[in-house]
Amino acid sequence: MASSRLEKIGNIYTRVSGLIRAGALKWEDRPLFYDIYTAFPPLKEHKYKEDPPNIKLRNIFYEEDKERASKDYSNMLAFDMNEKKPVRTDYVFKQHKAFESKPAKEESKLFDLKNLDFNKE
Amino acid sequence: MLPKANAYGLFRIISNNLPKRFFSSAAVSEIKELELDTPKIVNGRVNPLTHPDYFNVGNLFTVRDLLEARVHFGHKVGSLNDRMKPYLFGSRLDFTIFDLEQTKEHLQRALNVAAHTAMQGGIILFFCRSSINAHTVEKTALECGEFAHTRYWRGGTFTNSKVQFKAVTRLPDLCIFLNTLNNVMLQHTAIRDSAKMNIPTIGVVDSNCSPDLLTYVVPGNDDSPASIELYCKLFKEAILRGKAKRKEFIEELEALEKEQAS
Repeated sequence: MASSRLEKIGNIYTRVSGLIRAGALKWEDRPLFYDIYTAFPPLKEHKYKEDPPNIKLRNIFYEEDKERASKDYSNMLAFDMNEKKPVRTDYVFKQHKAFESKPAKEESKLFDLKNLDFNKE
Repeated sequence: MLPKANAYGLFRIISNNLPKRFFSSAAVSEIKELELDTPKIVNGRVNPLTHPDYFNVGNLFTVRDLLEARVHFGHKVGSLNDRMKPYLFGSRLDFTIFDLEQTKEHLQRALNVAAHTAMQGGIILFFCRSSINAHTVEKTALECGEFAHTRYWRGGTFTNSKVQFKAVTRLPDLCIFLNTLNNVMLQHTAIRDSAKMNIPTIGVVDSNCSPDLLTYVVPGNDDSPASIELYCKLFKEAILRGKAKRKEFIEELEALEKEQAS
């Protein structure tokens, strides 16, 4: 069967289409993928070594990150990220949100982690 | 390249009974204009290629399944391939995170293509060069009656098959790469060879991989065993659905032939 091995030019579909158009490949001999590709082309076609798009990668940050960065949470135990139940940090941030408007000296009491009873919640 | 008798798909045999406008020699441009929004029904049978989701692969998984299988985790920003940027949601503390909405669309398209290939009697070959996932991939291929190649790739297996196997060899009709890098962090040679031999490829591309030469790209984590297990489960189910339809069609055809003979 006729085919082209220049893989960097176009893609498999354009190369086979070209062969069919030029008469080098009979329509009946088209490869199995041809009809499937025609009906379901890739959502995005990539040219060989095309220039990368000019997109700036955004940073993902959450509201809680400010709190995480401002204090030392290293004494909190490790937890399973796959756990669906609320974890210890959730409790702390919930407390933080509730007392956001309170003056700063109360805040220090609020985050006295050594005296916090996690099992209560 | 392919022995002719084998290369024919089942639907083409069925399509001989369909009006010529679907698959006639002048149909190259016509096929392109097929509207996929409404399934075309001919002789009481839906043409699978005109149905947007014939095998119902849309119900196989949700974005939450992807999230729980850790598909959204990419590599560190330093190893990012700039071509993968459109598929990323962003970077979280120097780790790239995939946009799972996009991954979902691409994965559904890939599953649909795999199911259609299986229905038309195509041979499917799974690839994976990461040693921790190799067994999962080989097991999946075995379970759905297809093939896997998870070892060192000898050059010329596709491109020089006639000499290597000492006979005319039927090459696969679809290659599924669950990991597109070989073990020295270069693109797997089989991707290039598939492109050379006009074999469509589906590839799971991580943030450090290039989408070059792949036909259907699935952006997502290609390292975690949990992710690979999910991909394997989905591809297996899609292929089995395609094969079930194929069996159904063959039985229908045989019944029709018997009827005509008697």
